[in-house]
Order: sequence, then structure tokens, then C-alpha cells
Amino acid sequence: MVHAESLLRVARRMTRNHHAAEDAVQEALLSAWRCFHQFEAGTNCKAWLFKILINLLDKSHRRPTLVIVDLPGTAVLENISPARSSYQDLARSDVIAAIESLQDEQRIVLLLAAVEGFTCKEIGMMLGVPIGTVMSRLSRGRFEVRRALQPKSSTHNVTKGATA
Amino acid sequence: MNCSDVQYLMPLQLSGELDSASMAQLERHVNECPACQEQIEEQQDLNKGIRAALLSESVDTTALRMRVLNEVKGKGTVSIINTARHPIRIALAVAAGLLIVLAVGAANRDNARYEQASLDHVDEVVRAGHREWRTQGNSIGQLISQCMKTPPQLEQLSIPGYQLLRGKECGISRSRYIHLVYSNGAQQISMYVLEDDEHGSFRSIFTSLLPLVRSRTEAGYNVTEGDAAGRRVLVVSALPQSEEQVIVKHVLHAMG
Repeated sequence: MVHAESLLRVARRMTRNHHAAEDAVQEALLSAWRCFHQFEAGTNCKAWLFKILINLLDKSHRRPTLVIVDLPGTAVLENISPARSSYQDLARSDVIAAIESLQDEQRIVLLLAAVEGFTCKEIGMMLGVPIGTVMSRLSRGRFEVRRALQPKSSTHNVTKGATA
Repeated sequence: MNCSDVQYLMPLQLSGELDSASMAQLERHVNECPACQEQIEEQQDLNKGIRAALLSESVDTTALRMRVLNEVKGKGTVSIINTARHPIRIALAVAAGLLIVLAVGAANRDNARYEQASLDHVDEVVRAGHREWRTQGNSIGQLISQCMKTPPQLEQLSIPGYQLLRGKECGISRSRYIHLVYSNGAQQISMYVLEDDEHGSFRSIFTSLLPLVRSRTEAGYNVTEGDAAGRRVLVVSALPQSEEQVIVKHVLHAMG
């Protein structure tokens, strides 16, 4: 259970509910224990556990699928002027609020990449989507977080596709 | 490589997944493009900010680990642990288990006894297969005295309206019984008498307070058994069960 903390951290941000997160991680760990014979030796155990957790979260949400148009290269961010010089001094609550405001598909890839350190390829395998889709969701997620974390006085300058 | 290419490849650049050729092209563009350079630096900074913020959040997995370990060990173990906290529950469970075992065992023994008594009646009375009968009253009385520690008088074993025809010793369910055959002129009935049965003193005490009489049909004949004060009387015949019960109660009362 060395990855329990990572699993719980991500589950909490995905479910926005501590008890639901604990239940999901518990079920994921028990599923992994029951199906450990399916784990391929030499592969990434942490990624395998996260894949189980993500499948459980998908089932438990029972929400209508959120459709995001993933078009590689269309996340136009280059014209957004950076209004914040550093993100190191951000309040934790602000970051969490910004991340939780993301759509599920963006939030999970950002958490897996930025917090848990998975590569785009690994995330694609976990989610069962092409790597280009992961890259697109990551770009979109970072864009949304960045916009949410901008000082309010400058938010009017941060607009998707705005020209410099 | 232009600014759009850099934007597209930025996730791979941040995760270190770019191959060396693409990385070299990206670096050449970034070195000449301050906007892209600023974007990459800002994205790296944003990543660090997100990571630092979320990793600083306390995540206590103690309760979760306990729950998982308990599940892995098995719910039965948890249940036993919970039960062990309540000694009264354990005592009740053990008592209930013992009662069930005793009841099942007694029921099995009863069934075997009734069946053997009925078959014995068929072989030795209906078909008259046995020849070693004692027919004299004195001889039957001696047999009873030899087989029982506190033998009843022969008169105590009399049945109103019936004549004692013969008697012998026999074995039923590993116990030695006195087998007496009576007749009312129309039909013969068997009565088996036992002292100090296998249930011992507990049953003696219990039946001295409340005589037990029960009937059933085995092998086409009615079997009625009664216990009282450590003695057992078992009647097998073609009589109705109600008549058999009257006979059994009468004999038990007479011996009491």
C-alpha cells in the first residue's frame, strides 16, 4: 500500500468528497489484491493501481460523459500574456479550487502529470486514449488553471485566442 | 518549428518525453523566441506550484489501510473479533450450538430406536421368528429382576384388558430391553422396557419432572415411547397412537 497516499490524494480531488475517495481507493486496493495475478511483472505498479482507481471512479460517477473536443494543436495559448510572475507562492486553497473547477477529463490528466509525475504516454494507457488526446487535455487544463489563478484585475486580459 | 509546434509539444517537453531531435529543434526555436521561452518557464513554474500545493496537503491513510487490511484478512476474522468483545454473545452462541448438536443427535437416536423396535416387533411377534421366549410369569419376573437394577413388579407392567403372553431380553440401539408381548384376544402388542437409558441422569431428572410421551409410525406400525424417572417404555402395535399413549402413560405411572 505504498501508493495509497497518492491514490487517495487524486481520488479526493476527483470526487471532491473524502469519504467517497476513501471508498474508491479501498475498492481499488482490494481489486488489485484480488487481481494481482493480472499484474504484469516489470511494468509500472503505480500506473496499474491508478488505472484500476480511474476505472472505479468512472463507474461510480455514473455521470453523462463530458464531451471535450480534443483537437491537437488547437489549444491556442501562445497569445496569453503571463500576468503572474510566479506560481510558487500560491495559496493551496486557490490551487485546489482551480483544479476542482476543471472538467473531469482535464483534471485527471493534470493531477496525474503535474502531481504524480506520470508521462503523457503512461496517462494515455491508463485512460485508454491516444497520447495526443492527453497532450490536448493537459494544455487545456493548464490553461484553465492558469486563468483561474490570475489576479482578478487582469483576468480580462486572459482570453482564449486573444491577440497580443 | 514555429510557436504553434512548441505549444503542441510543450506537454511532452515538460514531462521529458520529447525525443532528442525534436528537443533540439524546440530549443533552437525557444532560444530565438522570448514569448515561447516565457511560456515554457511559466508552465514549468505552474507545474511546480500545483505540485507543491497538492503535496503539502495532509493525506492520512491510516484508517484506509486498516480497512483494507481487515478486508484482506477476511470478514470472518473481523466478525470473530467483534464477537469476542461480547462474552455474553459467545456464551449464547456456544449454548445454541450445543443445543442444536444435542437435539440433532437425540433425534437421530430416536429415529433409529423407533425403527429397530418396529422391525423387532415384526420379526418376533408378527412373524414369530424368535423361539426363546419365557412364557411363565415367574420366569418373566426373574428375567426382569436380572436385567434391571430396580426391577418393577410384574403387576406394575400389566396392561388393563391385555394378557401378558411371553417375554425375553433383546437389544435395541445398543441397549438391553425387556421385550414383553401382550394380547387382548384380537391382536398382539409389544412393550419394551428399559432402565437407566443412555441419556443418563440428566434425562432422568428432566423426565421425573415432566414425563415425555411421543408417537410415530415406523414400518407400518405405530410406535409410542414414554420416559419417566429414568425408565423408558416403548409400545409397538397396530393400535391407534392415542391408545398406545394411554398404555404407555399407565405403565409409567404404575412403575413411578
